[in-house]
Amino acid sequence: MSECQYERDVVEAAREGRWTEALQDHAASCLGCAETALVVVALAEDVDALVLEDAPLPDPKVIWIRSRLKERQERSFRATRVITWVQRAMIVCALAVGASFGPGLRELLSGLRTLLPTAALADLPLLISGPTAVLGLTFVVMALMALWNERSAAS
Amino acid sequence: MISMATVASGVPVTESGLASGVMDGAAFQAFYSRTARRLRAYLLRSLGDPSLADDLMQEAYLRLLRSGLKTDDEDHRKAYLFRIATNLIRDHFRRRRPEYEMPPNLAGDPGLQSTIDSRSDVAQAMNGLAPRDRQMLWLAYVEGSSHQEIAKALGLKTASLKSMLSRARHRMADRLRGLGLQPIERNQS
Repeated sequence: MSECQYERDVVEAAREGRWTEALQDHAASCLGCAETALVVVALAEDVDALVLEDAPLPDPKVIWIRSRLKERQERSFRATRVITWVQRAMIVCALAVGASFGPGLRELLSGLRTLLPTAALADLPLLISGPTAVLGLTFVVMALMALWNERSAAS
Repeated sequence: MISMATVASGVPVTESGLASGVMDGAAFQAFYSRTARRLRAYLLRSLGDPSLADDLMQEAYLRLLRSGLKTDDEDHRKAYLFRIATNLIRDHFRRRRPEYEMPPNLAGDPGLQSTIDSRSDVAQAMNGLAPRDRQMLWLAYVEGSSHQEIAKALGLKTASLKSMLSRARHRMADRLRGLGLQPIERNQS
């Protein structure tokens, strides 16, 4: 569909309500421009009525405050994201170090198995307080704490 | 640096005003009072639901503030705001119905119909059009947006916009004529 050369002028005239006689004559004879004028005038009347309507608008203060709050939330999220990543790295490190003590722990457990039937119960604390066992348990506890921290930060 | 003060309205303001191109509280309030009614009119006629129009209007301003748009050009800011609103309308209809192109079947939806603002013939005629047609007509003939701006806002090709707009205008004119409206001279000078 080809656009009439006066269409832009008709749109402007209809929107502003400023018609020249020539343009008015043209709009009366051009089907496309008459249609454009009808639509533009109707929409202009409608928007005028809607803008003048005194229905209360939402409070801009609320929008402003919401935007500030959202910004603060995002800042806090960005800040805690670093901490979360550090915690995750800690978990991985703890698990890796814990795994490196795996053979030692296995040895300790097998030693316990052979000792338990014969050893007195009084010797048990000594075995458990051995350096390998202490280190292993420490890392397990650290990993659990880091996991717990991450969960509470996420919630 | 921003020194915060609070005006009687309770909205924090800065002494720098719009110097950085980013709005402070007072500048936002002024911009809001100049644009909110027109934006609501656009949303209302595009959506047909006053409460939804208010919700999306607030969301549009919120997104504008969060966008960090840096400009002192009021027209640019307003065009950006309308583009955000257009995207929100599009998202709304996409979420609601996959067949975004089709006009809403108002007759079969009494819940929606009851919320439609049908005080004017224009509202009635607009409600019979597809959402995209309503947006195109409004942006072109009320906001005076260029074809390029409309195409960008609606995610269309500029080349095809002209014919789409022409068809939308034809459909709208048919509906207006059907309601007995004839071309009239508005505030002729």
